Amino acid sequence: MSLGLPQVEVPFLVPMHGLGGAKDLPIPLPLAVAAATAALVISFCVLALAWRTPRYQDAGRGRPVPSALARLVDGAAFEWTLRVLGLLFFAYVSWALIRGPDLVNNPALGTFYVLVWVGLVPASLLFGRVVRALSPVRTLNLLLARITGGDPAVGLGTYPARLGYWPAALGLFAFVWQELVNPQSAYLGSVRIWLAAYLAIMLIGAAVFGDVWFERADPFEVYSNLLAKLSVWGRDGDRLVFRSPLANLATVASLPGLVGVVAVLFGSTAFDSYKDTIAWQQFVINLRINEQVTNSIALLVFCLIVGVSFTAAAMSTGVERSERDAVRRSALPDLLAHSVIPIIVGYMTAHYLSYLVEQGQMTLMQLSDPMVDGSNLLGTANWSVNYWLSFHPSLLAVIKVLAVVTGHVVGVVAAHDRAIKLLPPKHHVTGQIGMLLVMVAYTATGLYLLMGGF
Amino acid sequence: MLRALRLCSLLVVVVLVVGACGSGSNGNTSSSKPATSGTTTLDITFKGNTVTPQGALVKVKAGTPLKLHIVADKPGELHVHSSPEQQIAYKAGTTDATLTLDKPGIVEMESHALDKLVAQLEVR
Repeated sequence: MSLGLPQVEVPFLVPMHGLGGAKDLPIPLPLAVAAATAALVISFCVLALAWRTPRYQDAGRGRPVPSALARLVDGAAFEWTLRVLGLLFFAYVSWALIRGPDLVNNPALGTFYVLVWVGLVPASLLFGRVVRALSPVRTLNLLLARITGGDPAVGLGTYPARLGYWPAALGLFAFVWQELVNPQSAYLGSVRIWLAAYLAIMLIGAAVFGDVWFERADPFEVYSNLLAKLSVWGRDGDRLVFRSPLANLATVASLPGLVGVVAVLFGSTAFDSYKDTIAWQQFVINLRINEQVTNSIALLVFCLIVGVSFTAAAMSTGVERSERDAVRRSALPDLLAHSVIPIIVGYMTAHYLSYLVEQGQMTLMQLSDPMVDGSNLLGTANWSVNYWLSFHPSLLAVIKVLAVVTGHVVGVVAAHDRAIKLLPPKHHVTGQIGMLLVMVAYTATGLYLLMGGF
Repeated sequence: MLRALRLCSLLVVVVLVVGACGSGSNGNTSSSKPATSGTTTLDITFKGNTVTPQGALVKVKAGTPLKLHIVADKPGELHVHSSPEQQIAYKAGTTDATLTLDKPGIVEMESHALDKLVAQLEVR
């Protein structure tokens, strides 16, 4: 990068919006059209040709992993190694967050927005429930219970079942608001407040309800646990098993609020793409209302559109009324919401791949210098960022489109398999049309936004 | 079932053709959407609390210098959110600067003092 006179090299420039420098080029129109068409055709092929009896719904068992591996993974040594590593890393980054200077190259920012938030996607897809294993709030709760002689799983009361995943949906919304809307997002102060509130809510909630609170309310853990259902790691009761990702996905617990969680995850990523388009920026300028208010409303609207459209599509089917064990129509959205998770993964991959690779390398370098004083504590400070991916925009575009289409296909198959289990035979085909259309709409919108919204 | 199968094979063929067309014209995208030949120079005017252009889309070629002709009524800085970030200071009056972006991508050029997006640079 060279710059004519007058030039100033400023390493700590805060962008007006979040973290990160250049963004990806829009994907080419023909590629997007081909992908959208493929998604449409595959969807209806699945509907017309795929199996008529559920394949994955009762495939709960899976193949047991080799006993040595199971013993290692479930052993106390392995568990506590991860817990200590998670806690040490949290302490190290907290040091940078609390004592480090308020500069955009303070590693606390990159760790929070890139390594943790985006990095948990590939980590969970590869290794399963990584946040649960590393989570510092879980470890703190465990240690508090040890000290007080209590049981970390037991709180003052029982967690109300009807709350389901709703606290996590709220927590996720709080995160995406902080990342995408808060004008202070790239300043340490706002991250300190966010994390302090997170820590307090997690520990108090766990004291009140026991550690089930983390599985229902911790935005990072809930997100990671859902993604882990697309990994090969599953549990049959307490036993660690290998399972095909589609069979594993069918084991997502359909609790109240699952639709809310997927709506926030998908809606916010779509908003993140949309808010960078010139059309939206011009609209915000011409509106002459506080930008923060406009963006907050827009973020909420994006999430609501996903939630409402999905709920309507899932319920747009005939259900059996007479049978005793018939599925109630109102239960359908949460029973089908797991099928949006692969679509989210595909879109997240497309949206964040180059960001994770390049900003992630930057953060690893910054982690050596938590006080931003030129030190090299971990030996990574002298690395340089490899921008190979950005220099191959055509390859990047193809990877993005393949990710979106793959996510779509897996989602459609998952929804089909669940629908033929839930719906009465006479509604098997017609009952799926609403879901298919809404999924095609999500994928087409995603591709449109990846084209830069032109 | 058989009819559905035939219909689907037909649709798949259509997709493959569309996909082939897509990838065929893919190579031409750069020539069908050329870096607008006039945009090797970008005029930027600051006046009071306004900047022209505001939120413009400017296509530039990777590695080719972009000349900036800045006319301003008071000094300030342009922030270029490339990776790594760059900053261009300008004075009251006329400032000429050049900016070379070597990595393909979308780069935002902002005035933080005015809290406004000047241009999105589409680098190919």
